[in-house]
Amino acid sequence: MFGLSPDQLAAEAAAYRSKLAAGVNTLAQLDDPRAGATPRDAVYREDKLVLYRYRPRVAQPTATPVLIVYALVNRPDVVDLPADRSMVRGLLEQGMDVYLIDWGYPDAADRYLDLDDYINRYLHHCVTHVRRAHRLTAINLLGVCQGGAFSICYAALRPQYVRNLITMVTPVDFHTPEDRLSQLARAMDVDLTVDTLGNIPGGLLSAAFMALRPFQLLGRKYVHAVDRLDDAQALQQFVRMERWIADSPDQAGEAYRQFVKWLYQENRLVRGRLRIGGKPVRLSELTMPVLNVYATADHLVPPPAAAALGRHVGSADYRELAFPTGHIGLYVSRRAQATVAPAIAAWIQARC
Amino acid sequence: MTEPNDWRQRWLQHQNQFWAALTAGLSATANAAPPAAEADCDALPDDLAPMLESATALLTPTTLAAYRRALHAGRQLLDMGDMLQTAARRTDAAEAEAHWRQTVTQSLALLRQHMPLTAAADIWNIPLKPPAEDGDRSSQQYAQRWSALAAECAKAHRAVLAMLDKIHNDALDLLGETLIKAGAAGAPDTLRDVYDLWVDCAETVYAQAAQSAAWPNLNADMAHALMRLQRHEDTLRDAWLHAHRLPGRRDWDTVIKRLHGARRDVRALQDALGDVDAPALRRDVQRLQAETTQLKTQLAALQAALDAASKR
Repeated sequence: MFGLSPDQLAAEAAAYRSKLAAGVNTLAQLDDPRAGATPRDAVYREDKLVLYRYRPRVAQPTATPVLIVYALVNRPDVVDLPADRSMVRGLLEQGMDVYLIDWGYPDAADRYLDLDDYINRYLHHCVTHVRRAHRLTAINLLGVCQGGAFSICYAALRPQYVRNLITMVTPVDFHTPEDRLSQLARAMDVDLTVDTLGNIPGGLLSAAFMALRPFQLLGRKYVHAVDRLDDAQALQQFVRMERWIADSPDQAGEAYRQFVKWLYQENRLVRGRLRIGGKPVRLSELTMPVLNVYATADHLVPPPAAAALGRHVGSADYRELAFPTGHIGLYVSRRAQATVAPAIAAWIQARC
Repeated sequence: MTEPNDWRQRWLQHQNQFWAALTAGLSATANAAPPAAEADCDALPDDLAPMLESATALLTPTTLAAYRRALHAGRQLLDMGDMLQTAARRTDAAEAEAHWRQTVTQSLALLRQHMPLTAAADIWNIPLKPPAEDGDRSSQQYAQRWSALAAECAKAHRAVLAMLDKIHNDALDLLGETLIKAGAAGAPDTLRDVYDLWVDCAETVYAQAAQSAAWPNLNADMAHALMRLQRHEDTLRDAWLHAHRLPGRRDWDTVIKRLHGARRDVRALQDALGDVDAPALRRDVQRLQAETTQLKTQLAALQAALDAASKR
């Protein structure tokens, strides 16, 4: 029965108040909310980029390491949350040797970095470093979201260096009907935006992501967060994620212009018209084994946008793994970590 | 455990006072006669008004206005709860259903009246500060152009807010439909459940609007209007910088572009050097050394032959 009586409301308000009061003390007990729990070493630096190698957790890790390529949007720390939620740790415990690219925080001096710089220079140099360190011809490439699109481009341009390609929540067809982000991006005059702002402020992109589900992301999430204010562990996780969401690097102007115009607006990747550094990016060149991992409740990269890869790759060994979670949940939720990292590791190990 | 600092003590004290006053105010209001429809939104119970006044030290006027609206909305929820409970107690099925429908409709009308989304405009505003004019012709021209661009921004902003207002109203319609369909027995039990149901309805309606051509265009129009205004303001900043013999945006941009080109050239050279195959290079050097030795031998032989010939 509808029970909005004054007593009911007063009781709810009192419970809410006590949670808020408890929250003040709980907040004071929290540790540093930064992510990045697993021990790692910086093994290569170039400009603002740092390549990390995580310390293996088994005596004899898989001979062919995996290089994780995260997006330029937000920080890559999210793949290494505390133990029970860390995708990196999950891969390490499955015997993988894991590297991660941290793109850094672009500033005004990086305004003219473009996709050629990111893919043919930075990413290529990281791949080269890992190959040489392990005396290998080719390594495993694991691209996440925008980093997945970069990995696809790299693997198509230099297939000889990629033994296996794994894409996670990676947009490939940018014009699928349910893609709200694409619809917003397609209406934008990206030249006016970049020519006015130079680098694109990270906060602007965060606002655009919030605008995809505003009532949930700006309202209900925080109303419900109060329920966790007396639970230090749950609150720690919440604050850590909030910090990660707010830690949004600016985007190098030219790379942003090209990514939005060429991919979101012109959908060049699936139309076979994308050129990076003057060379054509053909998805048919993806002849190595490909694992495409996506989330069925992803509001940023709808499943059809990711699954489109299967229609265009040239590989005879193509497999999809769909998990019933959201975009972020795929690499931060405890439940996903129990299945995602082992599934990826098993797929790689069967091909190394 | 860390001892609370001054800030946290103040905050804790403040929020305790606020919630105590708010719940007391709600109870007092609930026991009193329902407020007239034309009641002043800002009229507060005696015990809450001083509290809110003292809170101004910590709260901005915008936040305070939002609190006032929340309080008033809380009163409306109580009225709605009374009506819905009365409706739920009806025993005759047909009469109960009709009364439930009427009650939900009236309740949502109250919510619509007292929780307009246009309140968001108070929070989500675009601060535009007109430039100061110093009377010369160029300054006047700049100000005129600025005013025209600012008017475009305001127009685009109003269009977005109007669309949000429609989404808000449609969401309330959907909430009403959902409540009527659920009937009194299936309605939410708590305020949190009502809120969650409203969020679900709002997200559903918003998703439909976001799929339309209008919504991305309205957002883009507003963003573009803001960009054009900023570009115009940049021209003034650049003019001022140049007048003081300082580099402007375009100058910096040129330097950064050249820096990027230079960095790219350096990297290309480093890559070219790194690509040199050292063993192959050594083989080439050894081959050249061998050829040189052979040539030296031949040269020495020729020299010896020449010396011998000259002696003869």
